[in-house]
Amino acid sequence: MSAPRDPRREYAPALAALVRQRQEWLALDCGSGLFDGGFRNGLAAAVDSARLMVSLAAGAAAAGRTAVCHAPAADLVAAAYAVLGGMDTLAPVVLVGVVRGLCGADMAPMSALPDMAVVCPADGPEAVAALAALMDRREPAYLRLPGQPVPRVTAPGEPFAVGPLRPLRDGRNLCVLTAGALAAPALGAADRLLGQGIFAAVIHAPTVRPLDADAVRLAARRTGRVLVCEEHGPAGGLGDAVRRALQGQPAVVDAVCFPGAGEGGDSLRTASDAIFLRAMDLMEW
Amino acid sequence: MRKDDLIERIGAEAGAGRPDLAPLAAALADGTAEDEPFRIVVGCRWAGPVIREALVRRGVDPFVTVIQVPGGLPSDDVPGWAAGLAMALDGTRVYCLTDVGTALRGPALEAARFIGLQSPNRLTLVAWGFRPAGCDPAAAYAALGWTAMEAGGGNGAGLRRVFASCARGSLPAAVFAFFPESGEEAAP
Repeated sequence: MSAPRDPRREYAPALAALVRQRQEWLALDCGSGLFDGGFRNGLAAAVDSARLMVSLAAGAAAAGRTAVCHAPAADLVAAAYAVLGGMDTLAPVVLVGVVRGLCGADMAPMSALPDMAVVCPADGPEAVAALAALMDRREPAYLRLPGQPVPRVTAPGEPFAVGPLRPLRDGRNLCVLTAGALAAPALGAADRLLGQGIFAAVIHAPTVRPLDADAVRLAARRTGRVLVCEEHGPAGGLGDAVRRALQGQPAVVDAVCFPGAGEGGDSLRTASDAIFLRAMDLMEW
Repeated sequence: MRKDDLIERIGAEAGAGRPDLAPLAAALADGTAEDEPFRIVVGCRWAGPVIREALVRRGVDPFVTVIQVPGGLPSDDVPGWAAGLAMALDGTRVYCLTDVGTALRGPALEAARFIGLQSPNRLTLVAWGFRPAGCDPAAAYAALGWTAMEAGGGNGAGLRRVFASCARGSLPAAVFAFFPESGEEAAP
């Protein structure tokens, strides 16, 4: 694993540069902690209430601007439901939720909003690339930004498209599907599995919704076993989406969830251990 | 005054629980007759066609009468939505029509506070309804950095004057159009 880097520190300057280039973009912030370093000067407006921020963004979107809102994930979920939940057509706003540690139950409610894309990048470079892709798409989207240092699994400047899976490692015995910051621990677990003679494919699914169901079925057909790893509760996240995609398919599916595993490098090591052990269990099926 | 009382009174005076917005729309038509571009955001679905019809009747070109009713958006969030529209539409005046109760609730006041710090801003909030007891809405908005005015009588004459004065300003403006209390004669 590469040295962990804080995606928030990579994201904020990249957003500042993007907003300077793209005059039609409007960045709003409500206590995300992303812009404390000074990215304010007319580029990101600070708003006291997440609900107001989402209302402002929806109004700006109606005028053709592309607005991106930043807040702690839990605040953003509540605000999105209060403002957008009943709208006839969901406003094309991009919501960026900062999660603290490997925890959260934000993807399930966000996935339940109609037409809302849910993107869970693995690291800072992927978060920046995903933001640019989501802003150009002009559809409602939720981007989940890891709030702790994570090892890089993508390189700066790599293109991002909403939907496709990103294979990180090939393997024939087992497919480990990950979302968000668990890509790096899954790669670590795959290294240890190799020592046991198990060739595990690691596939990163940055887009949880809409999930590339065809690619998931293809991966399941090749290996017969799928282990889903996600930093979310067992309901409504990547695991559920994968099970729906594999309904009726001859594949064994299991999920390892980290809905509240704490913060920092220790939690990533713990996650890697848990993925390894669950993969070993799955191989006995 | 309790909300139930208010609804009852509106119902008695305007029928079907809907206040008569024609004077407000007439004043708005005169106010928007200035040659600056404008948009109107209406907080409730039924009021949109009423305002539109009144504007067209007063000679406002139906093709430039942009009335936006964000479908399904909670009425409390409409002022914030309109503020976002005003932020995004540089040089266009945005009129946000809502009721006094909504204008004094938390989300609208949060929006008012935010907008009060943004200068210049071309948002005009128009709130209609009965005068709330024990509260001065105009003073509340003025304290948040708005040009806030009352247009008494609710019949359009006061509103026309107020629109004429705020249409030229670059500060956000709040106009409170209070319905006449029972027994009170509307000004001509």
